Amino acid sequence: MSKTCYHCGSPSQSWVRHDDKDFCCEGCVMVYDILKENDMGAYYDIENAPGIRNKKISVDYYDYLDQEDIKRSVLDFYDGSVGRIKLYIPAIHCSSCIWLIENLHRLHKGVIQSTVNFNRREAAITFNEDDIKLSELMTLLASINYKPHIKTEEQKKSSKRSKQLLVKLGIAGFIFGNVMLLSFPDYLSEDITLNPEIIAWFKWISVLLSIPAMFYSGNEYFITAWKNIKRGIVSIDMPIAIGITAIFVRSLFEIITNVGSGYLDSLTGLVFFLLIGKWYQAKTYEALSFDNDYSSYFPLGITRIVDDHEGIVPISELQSGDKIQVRNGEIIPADATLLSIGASVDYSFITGESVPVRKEKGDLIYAGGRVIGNALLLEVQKKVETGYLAELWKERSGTNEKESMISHTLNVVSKYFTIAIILISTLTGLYWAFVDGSKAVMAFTSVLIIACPCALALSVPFAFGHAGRILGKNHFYLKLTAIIEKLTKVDAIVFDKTGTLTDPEHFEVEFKGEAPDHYMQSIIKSLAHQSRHPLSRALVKHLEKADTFEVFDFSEQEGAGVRAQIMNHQVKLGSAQFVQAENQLGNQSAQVYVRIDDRVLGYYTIKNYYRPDWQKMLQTVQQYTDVHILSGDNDAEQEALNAIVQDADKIHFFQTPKDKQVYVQALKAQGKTVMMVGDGLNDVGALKEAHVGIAVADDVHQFSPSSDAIISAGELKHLPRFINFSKVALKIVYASIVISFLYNVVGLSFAVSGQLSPLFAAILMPLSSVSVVVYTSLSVMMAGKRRDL
Amino acid sequence: MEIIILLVVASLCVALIFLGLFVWAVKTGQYDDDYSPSVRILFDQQEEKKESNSKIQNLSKAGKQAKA
Repeated sequence: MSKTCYHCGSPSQSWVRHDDKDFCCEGCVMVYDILKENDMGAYYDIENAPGIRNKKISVDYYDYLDQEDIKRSVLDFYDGSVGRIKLYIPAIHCSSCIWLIENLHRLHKGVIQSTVNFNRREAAITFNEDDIKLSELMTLLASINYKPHIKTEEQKKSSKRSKQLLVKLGIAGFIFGNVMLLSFPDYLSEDITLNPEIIAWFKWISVLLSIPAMFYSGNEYFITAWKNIKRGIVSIDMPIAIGITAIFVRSLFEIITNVGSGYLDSLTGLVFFLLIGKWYQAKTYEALSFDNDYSSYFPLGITRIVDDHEGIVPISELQSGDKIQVRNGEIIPADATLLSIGASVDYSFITGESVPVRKEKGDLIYAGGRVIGNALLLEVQKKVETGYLAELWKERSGTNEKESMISHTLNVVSKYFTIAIILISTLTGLYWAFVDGSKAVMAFTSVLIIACPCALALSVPFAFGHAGRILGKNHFYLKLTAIIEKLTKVDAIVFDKTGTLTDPEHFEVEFKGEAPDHYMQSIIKSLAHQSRHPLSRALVKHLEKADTFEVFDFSEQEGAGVRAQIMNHQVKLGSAQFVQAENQLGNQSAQVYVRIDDRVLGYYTIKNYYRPDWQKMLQTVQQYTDVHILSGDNDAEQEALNAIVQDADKIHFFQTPKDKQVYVQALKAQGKTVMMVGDGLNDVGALKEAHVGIAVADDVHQFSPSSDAIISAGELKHLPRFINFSKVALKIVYASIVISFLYNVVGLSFAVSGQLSPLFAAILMPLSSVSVVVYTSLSVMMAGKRRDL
Repeated sequence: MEIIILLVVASLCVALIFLGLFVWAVKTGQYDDDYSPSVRILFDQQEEKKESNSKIQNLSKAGKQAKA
């Protein structure tokens, strides 16, 4: 068995031996020590290697949370000393995590109680402010690598909605069961009759029970139907609302006039089934958030300097002209001009470009950059809401079209369906009015009742709901199940390169020239170690096996290179000009030249590392769609990409976020259904613009840009399979629509001829619903199995 | 036979109590998390270590400084 880290279970090439156990890095050792000192070794007993590796070096400041008004806005409860907060902790992933977080009080006596909600990756923590400040609590969690996030408004809302649906469903189920029981006498044959008085009682109790089923559990159908009528749209809710009303009125009429017993069992059953379908479809991924806006990325507060006084203010209060201080690792929240002498800003968040940008005093810095190095003094130019990033977010077309929960097909079908049903029922009513007046109203309502599109309305929620679950199991998470249908229509896919096709955490490093020995490598590593530049970091990673020496006289020239004295050698790492070497190969890819004393050893080429199987994936999707690749990076990798996508018009480099959005817009204008696959904030505009925006995330529980779907980076290679599966799911929906039409034809022929008996209705209506549900669920499941999903 | 009506009403009342309990359970969030309670029950209760450990606080501060 290969060796893995005792704390986090990840494989590694260099090992830290500590306490007779192997660890992959110092970070893991630190957390292990914290836990061990507090007798919390049980963490490792519950699950094997449960820890989280602190992959990214990012510094987070939480001190703004101690500001009185910010604190009050994030705490659920606060009485001056005891506070309660709900934190979103995406790193929670196993039972050990639950144990650790629920035992936080052993790590710090200020924590009174903590409870984990695993499904939502959420911890509710009660703490005593006198012992531990909110910022310290956040730091404590971050120090054991459970990085906490303040919950966004959207996350708070979603749990409320799902609760309400569950209550509605429970009530509908209760009513359905009882009404069915009370309708039992109707199911008996004529020979066994009960006392009519008792039956009358039963009927009236049923009527009483059905009222909440209609007006509480089923109220949304009426509300949406009404809203849609006002907007001039016919959706599936409309025939449902008409059907429910028709059944209720007819039943009430029958019961009052004592001619029959009505169809209240069908009515309540219908509401119950429909709600199951809704619940099935609405059961989304609570822990994932699809609607992050730019503010999710920003800190809640920022240091503002007024008359040499530092104070923390919420970023929404920033005005243009304010002076703010942004520290190393913090994100610049608003477009601002630089007051400090010079700075490097990492825009990888926005542009995907991995190399930090050098800014001079007086330069305008756009919001969203991360400060590297010393704290910067900035003067705010635009308020946060009107900044560059916020504007990018707002530009979104066709918002309404995306919000619809119901699929496009179903909306089209139900439109014609509704018109047809109203026509047929009116004609039937008119016909009987002339032939046999006593039957006219009966026949008219019979048509409405029997044509009630329960089977139709259930086909999509169950087929897509099931397909959505299967995709979710494969780490492809959909915001709405209706997106499955959009997936099938896609005929142009735009891929972002950096971070999507390539893995931002890995680089391919190659050395050209005189290969350095271990000693030389150690010297290079020692120097690279001092710099935060991504290329240096890639080098350090590449030279993992080498040792590190002490470094003297280190200096970094932004955008050029680094130099220092190591083991009595003058060492320089950087661009060709910086080390005074001849530039040998144009700007093919990122190159780092090495100069030790007076000799240039050669250079490292550092290439992006593509995710496994990316070529195969692209080739497969290329068979049936257009593939476009956009990159915010330089064109160093044109050749590699050209090998896959031959058409050079479809590969573009140096793309700004706005360019990407415009590109998608242009494709849409050509009448294409566009899918955008991207990862960072730099793709936000394009992701929103596209018909289907898919965010690629290394860790799906981390914040990702707002999108229609989130795919785990490791599963991106299966994208063609997912699209394929969606196509099958859509076919299954068509088939089930046909089935439900067949039922309707049979039922309608009875209803039109005025022969609909209550018994017949009682059998046909549930049968059609149940068979459609069973058919769609089973066939989707089988389709998934056959494709190994 | 009239007793049936009484029985039906009585049974409905009992059922309503359970429905009420269900609604209460949903509202108080008992259906929110179906995983952690099943794990939580298996955790051992260990002896509490009374004195709070100041080392962690030092450590986390040290870590913060190191990162900065």
